[in-house]
Amino acid sequence: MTLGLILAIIGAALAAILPGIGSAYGVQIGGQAAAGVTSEKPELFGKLLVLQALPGTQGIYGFLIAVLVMVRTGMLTGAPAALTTQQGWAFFAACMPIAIVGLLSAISQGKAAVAAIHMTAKQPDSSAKGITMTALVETYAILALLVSVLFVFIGIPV
Amino acid sequence: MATVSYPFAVGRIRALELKLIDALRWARLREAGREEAARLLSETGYGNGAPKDDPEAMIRTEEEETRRVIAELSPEPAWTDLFLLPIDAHNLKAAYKGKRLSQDVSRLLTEGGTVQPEIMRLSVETGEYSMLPEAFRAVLEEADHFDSLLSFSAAVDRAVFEQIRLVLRKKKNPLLSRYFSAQADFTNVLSVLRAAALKWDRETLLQVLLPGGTIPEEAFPEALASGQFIPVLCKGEFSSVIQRVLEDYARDGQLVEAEKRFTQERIALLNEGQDDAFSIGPIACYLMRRENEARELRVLFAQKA
Repeated sequence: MTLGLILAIIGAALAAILPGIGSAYGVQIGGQAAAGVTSEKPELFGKLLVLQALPGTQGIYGFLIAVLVMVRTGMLTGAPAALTTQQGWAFFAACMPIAIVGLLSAISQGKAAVAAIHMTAKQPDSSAKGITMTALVETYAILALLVSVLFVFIGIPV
Repeated sequence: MATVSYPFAVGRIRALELKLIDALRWARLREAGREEAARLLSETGYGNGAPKDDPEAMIRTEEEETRRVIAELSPEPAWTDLFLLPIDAHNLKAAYKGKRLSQDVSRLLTEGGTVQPEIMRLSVETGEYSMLPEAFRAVLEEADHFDSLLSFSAAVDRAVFEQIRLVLRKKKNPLLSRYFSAQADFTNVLSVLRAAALKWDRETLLQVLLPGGTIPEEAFPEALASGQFIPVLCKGEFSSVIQRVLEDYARDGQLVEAEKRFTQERIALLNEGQDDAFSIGPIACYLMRRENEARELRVLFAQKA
């Protein structure tokens, strides 16, 4: 196994780990807020569930990039490519946009989701507005995902 | 339940806030007669469990329920307990009065403080104060030196603010520090106005002043002696608020109105923390609004009696 391949594996692992942590935290605080509201108003469960789930997408994006790196480097087929150190660093760097932005945006989105859940508790009809406001944070995670995808697929010759 | 998190607690508070009496319901309550108002109140679930024709019982039940909920969901009981200390103070005064006058005061004791009413009563009767907050212990140990129930009552009120200072020194919270400083200032200003209206002497005024405010202590007797409230009392962090209230008081001379304005200003101060879902602000705000609502309902039903 070459140093390049090890770097690519570390990049892929970070792409899965960091946004996963952020999403877990975001969904956790969203869940706490939703549980608080549901304990008084159980009928809002359906509306709140969507808001709670929103910060979970970053974890999926990170997982997706990790799988793409594995596909590109042949790790899934059992015959990994002998990547050079430069190629390894390139894969590592390609994973960073979603790793870092995914972590931070999931935490921020979790906080936005908490505020939206609290708003929905007071005005159940505004849940769609809350979803829109919370979903806007997602924009930056999607941009980071796109950058990582483009790097992994087009930017790095293997 | 110290395991409760802020998002959970504030989520529950947001749902509970819907039960606060809104402007429309207030208008209907004001228009209605006493029985009709009591019925309107009970229809909305206010004071569930209490006799529906007894507004005072409904208000008490609702107050106790609010305090129970706050105690149950507070992520930082040390801070929310500060708002419940006046209940302890009330129970302590009642228990002490009962002991001094050899009367049964059980029906005067109120649930919802940081100490169970029965424990408070037993502590005062037996002289075993270890279950009481630190500042209350100090007052009770000096209890023999008080020449009247009034001076004991004033000492207990001071002890409440000493306890608040003690807690906030150990566990800092800028929002609450500001709020309780304002409360001390506002209460002291009201005491000066009351002292002037009732022609109290300097010593009586000094007895009822609370610690922890931002107005220098010497300003209060000076204001009483000179009768110049605005130039002498408009000092400290809340001088602009105090000035506005004192100017209105100079015009209408209504102490009750001044008291009401100060209460609104205190709630407005807490409202600054209302939108922070990860702080004590919304919880404290809810408790204050509930207490204020109970106060206003008492006034409303007293007017209809």
